[in-house]
Amino acid sequence: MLNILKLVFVLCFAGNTLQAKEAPLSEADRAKKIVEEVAHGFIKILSQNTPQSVQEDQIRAVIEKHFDLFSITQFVSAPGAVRGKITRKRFIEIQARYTTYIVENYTQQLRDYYKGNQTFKVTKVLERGPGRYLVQSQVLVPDRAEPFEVEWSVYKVGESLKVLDVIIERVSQSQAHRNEFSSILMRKGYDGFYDDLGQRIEAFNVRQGQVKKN
Amino acid sequence: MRISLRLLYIGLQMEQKTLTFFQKNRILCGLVLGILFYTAPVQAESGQPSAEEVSVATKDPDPLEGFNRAMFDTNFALDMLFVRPVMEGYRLIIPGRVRGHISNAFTNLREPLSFLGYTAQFKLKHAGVSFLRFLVNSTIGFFGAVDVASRMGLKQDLSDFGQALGSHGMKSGPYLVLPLFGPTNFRDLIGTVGGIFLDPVSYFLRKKDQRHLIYWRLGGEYISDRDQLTNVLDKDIYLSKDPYTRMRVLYMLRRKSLIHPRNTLLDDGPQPVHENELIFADEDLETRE
Repeated sequence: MLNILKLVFVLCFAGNTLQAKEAPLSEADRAKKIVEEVAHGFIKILSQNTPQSVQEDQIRAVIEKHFDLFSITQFVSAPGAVRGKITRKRFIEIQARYTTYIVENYTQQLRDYYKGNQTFKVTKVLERGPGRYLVQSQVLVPDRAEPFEVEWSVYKVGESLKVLDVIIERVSQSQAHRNEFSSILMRKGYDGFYDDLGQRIEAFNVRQGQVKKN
Repeated sequence: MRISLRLLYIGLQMEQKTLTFFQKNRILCGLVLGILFYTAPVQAESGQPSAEEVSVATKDPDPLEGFNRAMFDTNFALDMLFVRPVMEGYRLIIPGRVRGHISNAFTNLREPLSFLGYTAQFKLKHAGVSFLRFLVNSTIGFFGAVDVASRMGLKQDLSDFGQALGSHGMKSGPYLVLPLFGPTNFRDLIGTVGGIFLDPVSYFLRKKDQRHLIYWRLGGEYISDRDQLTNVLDKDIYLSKDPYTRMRVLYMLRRKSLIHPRNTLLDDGPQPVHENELIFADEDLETRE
């Protein structure tokens, strides 16, 4: 009798589990899952005691998988690409260099802030129209009374959901870059902007070298 | 000037106290130029995004750039020579957790002004939260050192008169950097001056003839804020390729996001763009089809 009850229980439990697995996630849940994957991915990378160059490669992989770098580059490089003022080749070169820049930038900033005891949690997913989500999250730091607020702009791009912006303490990183680069674009054009990105990446590398020496 | 100040910063970072007379003079030159409201002309090259395009893209002109840059450099030098060393000493003597409590206490003293700021915006719920936060933290939170209110669900979200003016439709006006005070804009400057006179804590201290406490508060708050902003200032802004622009952009975006509803975070940010939507200079539409 007891064995039969156990069997019934196991079947019911297995049935529920299978049913749960089969139930498709809503788009909002998928947006939340992507953000969690990115954030936990970053935390896992930082928690490993690997050299910065290895961490950069791993962070690049996460960013390339989950961020819509084409749209972000178009946004950051002013509307020239919409108005036929940049060649395809140059745009692709800028995208590649800008990707390296944000990878280096994020790695550096995350390393500066990471102290090994932060916890990350998604607090709310707000739907802002079809395929548009603002995922709100918090990074809790033990010494700080108030957690850091990080919001993620997630859009449906084709069939998948992609991150288009990270908003830290209400400051959009994409908008900050767009504003920062605008005067360079205006004064020096796309070639100058491309060179400037190269110099910024070089500065990160120099800084990394200094940190290593110290 | 930028190079000399960056050298100064790197020099101080590496504890090489070799600031030359020439570098010091360049800072002064910058200050004088700034006072004369020198603004650097910016010209677009042909075939590149025009000033109009970029200005539309960023919606954030900087007509006082020359003056502001000089002030930024002055503040940077003052920070490196005076404020940062004091802050370093503060960090050396007082452990991180205690510094967090001190910062909480100073933040708590801003709640009455925040209450007035929200009231001026007719955001009575937020005003109520500020009021309750001040009440709770000032009593059971040991004069604000422990943020008990946050644990009770009363989330900290400070406001000020600059925000109030912005919420009533007043434009920010040009970006402005003031000596010691740092980044602001014309609207926030008006708000800050209003706040100095209307801050209930300062008013109370003036009434009780305890003016010296107002200055102690200002000084303490300045060092505590500098300590809390160490990562942003020392590792993000000062080490960026153009620290002035980085500071301006972060300030303007943050202030804008505090005034406008959260929706604008998505509306003003990047939107998905398909490759076919772009027109490249070396392709015509017919060949692409």
